[in-house]
Amino acid sequence: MKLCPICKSESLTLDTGGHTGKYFCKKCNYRGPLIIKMEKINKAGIIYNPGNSIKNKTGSWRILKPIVNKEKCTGCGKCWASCPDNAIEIKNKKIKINYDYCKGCGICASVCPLQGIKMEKENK
Amino acid sequence: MKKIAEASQAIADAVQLCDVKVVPMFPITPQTHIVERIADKIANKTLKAKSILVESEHSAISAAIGASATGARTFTATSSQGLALMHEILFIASGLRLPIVMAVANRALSSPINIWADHSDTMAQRDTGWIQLYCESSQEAYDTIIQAYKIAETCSIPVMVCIDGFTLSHLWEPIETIKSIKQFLPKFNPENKLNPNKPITLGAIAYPEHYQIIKQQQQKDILNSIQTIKKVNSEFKTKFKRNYGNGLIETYKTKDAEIIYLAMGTTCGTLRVTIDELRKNNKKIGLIKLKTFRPFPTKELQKAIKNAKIIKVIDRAVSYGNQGPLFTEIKAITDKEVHGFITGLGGKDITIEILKSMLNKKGGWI
Repeated sequence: MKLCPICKSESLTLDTGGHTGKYFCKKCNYRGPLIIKMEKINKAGIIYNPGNSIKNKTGSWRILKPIVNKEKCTGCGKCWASCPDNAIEIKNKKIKINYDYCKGCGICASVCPLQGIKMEKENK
Repeated sequence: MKKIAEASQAIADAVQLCDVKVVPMFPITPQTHIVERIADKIANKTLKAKSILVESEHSAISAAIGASATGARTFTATSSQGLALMHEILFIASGLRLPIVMAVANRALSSPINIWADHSDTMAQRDTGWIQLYCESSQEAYDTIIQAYKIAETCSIPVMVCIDGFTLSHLWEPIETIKSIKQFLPKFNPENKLNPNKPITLGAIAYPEHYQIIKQQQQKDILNSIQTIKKVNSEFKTKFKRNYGNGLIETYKTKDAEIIYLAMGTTCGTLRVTIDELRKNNKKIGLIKLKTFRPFPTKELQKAIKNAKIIKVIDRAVSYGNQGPLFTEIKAITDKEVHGFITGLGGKDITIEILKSMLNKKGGWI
């Protein structure tokens, strides 16, 4: 939770589709951007701790969610190789999807030779 | 030491003096002499630098950005169509706050194709976030390159040093060279650079809430660079006994002037002679040479034109569909009578007679 620029309470959360930079205040219903002080941003937007994009959980962008049928999955790795977000792991010849970063593109479902992945509507 | 040099050669000498480490180069008339001379110096080992021969100006500025980001003092030069091809990358250089210095030999843009001097190429790049300094003589070009590195590295903003194509770039005149600038311009050691031992990310994505703030910082810093330019100019004056007004504008006989001419680049040389001739007939006329076009020295200009009645602005470029770019900017900072003239496009000679004829006109194309 972040500080709301209107009611000053710590009840500001990312709005749906958080990548648009819109925030939502649960208390006063404020919708809009965060107010950030100029001094708090690094000059030229330089990032001093590389690899911090891991903090940006892009799973919130998802509309369709891949559901794995564990009985069908042989761990062949076709989906693992095709995932553009590296959101699939293979453990004990079964795949595991990391929903923190899966954006729901559906490539895994379309490449699965056994039709073992189904895309279902995300419940938000 | 005195020597005879054209501005291109003077710039190459200044680059050598500044101990530049990387020079991506691509030839284009009338800038070619600059990189040619630098290539000579690198081949003769009088300048210990890396020359990168690229396939276009787009690559030249991209290579310059890469080099500058690793912490190497970088120089490149271009002109006209080449500068236009660099356009998108110029924003990246200024956005990443890399202190690149680039010489631009001002030349008209196609079409029709034309290789001679006017300011339409650099005027088209005025909003790219670069500092733009315009020179009147070979000596000024030499000194401005040295000052440009100091300004760029103090403010982390890239600088364009603009010289009029042919009328200055190919003009041979005596210049006074400097022996050592080690005290004036220390070694380039930037705060942020690409270093495998201490990795940073440059040019990452900025979301809407961050982008505007980063751009606001950039605007604040380029406006503050006005003070740095003044300071560097006065420091240069105390060390090397030469100065160009206050670094932003230079005034010539403006104290009692009722009519003030305002121009940039080599036109100012002809204007000085014109004003001397007109003054013989007791006409109170003066000149303001605008050296720094970006950042725009609003306060300094307002102070300089305080006592004048009429300001005659000479543009060597057109903002098609509006008027001369310099005219509209001067008009915006004063409520005095401003007459805008467009002349000297594509190398058209600006003679004393043309400049005198402006006294009887209220603006337009000459």
